[in-house]
Amino acid sequence: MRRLIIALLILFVSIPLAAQTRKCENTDKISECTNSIVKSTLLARADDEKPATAAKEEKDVTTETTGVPTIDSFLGNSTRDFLSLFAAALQSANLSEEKDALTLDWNLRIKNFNNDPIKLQGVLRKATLWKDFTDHLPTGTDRAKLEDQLGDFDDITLSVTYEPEGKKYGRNLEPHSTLFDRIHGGTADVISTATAEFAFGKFVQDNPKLFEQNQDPRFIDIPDAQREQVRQLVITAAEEIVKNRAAFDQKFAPLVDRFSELLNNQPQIYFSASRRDRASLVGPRETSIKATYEMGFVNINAFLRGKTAKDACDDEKGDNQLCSAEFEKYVTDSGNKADLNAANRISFSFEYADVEGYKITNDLVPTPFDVKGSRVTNGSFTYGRIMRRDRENHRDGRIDLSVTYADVRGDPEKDNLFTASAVYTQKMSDTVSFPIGIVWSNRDKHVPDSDHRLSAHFGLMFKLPK
Amino acid sequence: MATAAATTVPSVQRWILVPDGSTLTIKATADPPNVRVTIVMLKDNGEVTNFSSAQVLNQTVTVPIRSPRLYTLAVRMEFAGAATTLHFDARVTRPDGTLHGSPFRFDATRPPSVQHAQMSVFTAV
Repeated sequence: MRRLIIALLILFVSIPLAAQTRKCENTDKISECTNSIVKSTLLARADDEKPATAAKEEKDVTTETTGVPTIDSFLGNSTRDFLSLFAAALQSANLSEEKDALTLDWNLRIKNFNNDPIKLQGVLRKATLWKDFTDHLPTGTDRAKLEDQLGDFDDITLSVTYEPEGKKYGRNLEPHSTLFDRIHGGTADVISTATAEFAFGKFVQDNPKLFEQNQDPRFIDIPDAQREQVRQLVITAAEEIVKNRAAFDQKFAPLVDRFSELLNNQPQIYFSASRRDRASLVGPRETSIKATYEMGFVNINAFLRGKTAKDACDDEKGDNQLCSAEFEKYVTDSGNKADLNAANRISFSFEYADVEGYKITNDLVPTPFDVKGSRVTNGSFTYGRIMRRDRENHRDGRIDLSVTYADVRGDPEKDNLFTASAVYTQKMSDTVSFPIGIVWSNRDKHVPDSDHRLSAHFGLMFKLPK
Repeated sequence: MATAAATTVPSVQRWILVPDGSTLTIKATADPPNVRVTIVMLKDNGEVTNFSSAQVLNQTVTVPIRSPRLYTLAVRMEFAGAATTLHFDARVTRPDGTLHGSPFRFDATRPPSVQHAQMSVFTAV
């Protein structure tokens, strides 16, 4: 029995070893040998994969943490996404009263706006009869016939969002490139050797006939007398590349990750305006303007508020080594480190909405229905943080707590509204998230899909690939 | 623009027996430019040339190839800030204007935040 266990142990140990050493077989080309040792994270060029007519440069404005998602979902969180050109986001049912919504985003940059991103968004919702209207319909009214009058484009929202970018706001690297280079300190240059690569190159130059017909031969095609020498040269050169990369990553990858986190925590301001156009049976038309401010606490602005860091990292008079040391000190400070790990984030928003008053007149409705207009001033605050961190697989779990107060004027039938929500969003993959949350309101009729002041919601959110 | 299901491509490219007087042309583009691309070129005569991100990103770098010489170019891509995709294209053109070997083309996007590529040029003697 003991022999069997030992044999099994040897087998288990030897399988991975065999897998590691199984490289550069006789049937492998030189390039295949190299690339079996040097792992790659690079992707095929998209325009190599598409037909030539479809290959064009598209402007990715970002994927992370920007913009206004589907408008006013209770399950939104404090991180926002600007999706790329015409990326569509489908919001599943049960998220809110806004069921079956299709959102189309278009990102562009206009030189007159300092080349800052501008996002155009269209939301197409499935038109349904307005609840306030149907609640007052006399019994016997044929609702099905009323619904037949609704078209596919009877509930459309268009919005435009502007996001200023620069050193103080926004999450682009370009305004901070000097700082990034200072933190690098120029020391990256020294981490590179090519002794083994040049040894292989010298062999190629000394033996050109071996490569004249085929520049990437299989080992089996190389004469016996030189095959093992070539194999060894190629393996050693590949291992040198791996070593160079590992040395660079060890020194700089944590720094780049931290810098990226600080950049992602930079404040963002958005200004947006939207217009919701609805057919008279679907509800009142609405125009709104909104301003949003969002930030994380440990960010580049906060780092540069320290006088020593500011002087050391000054664009003109700074010093690479001092700047790098200050940055290291800042991101390894226990308080800052804890904050970065939690990814604490807050956002404020203020919104003014004007809801138009009108009369619904319809052959199927005996008396016109009077819709009162109103003006709503709305303020909200959201705090979010990561509860469950999974850096390796990018499967973080995030909690967002939100409070909103709406002051309603002009319509005596509508009350001022206070809403609070807590949403936990578990990222399942880069494109799929699973939000679950509770919503409380001081007016039960304003909690969607519920007759109670408190209701629970869950859903599935997709971000389509760019 | 890369998709989630894009194919991985090799990160090492060698052009061998390159004729004297050829040119290596490198183009790296990204919009928004949330990536720093630096290249360290080593020659077998001990010469080291650093190309900064300002020289490489959204620019065209041309390297004249002289024989007999061995060149390696280590390309480092460091992503920070909002997501972006780097489009990379490098190719060797012979003195007669024809391509030598295949172009080295790839896309790169985060994660990981640091990515690498390497090119070597071995001239004909």
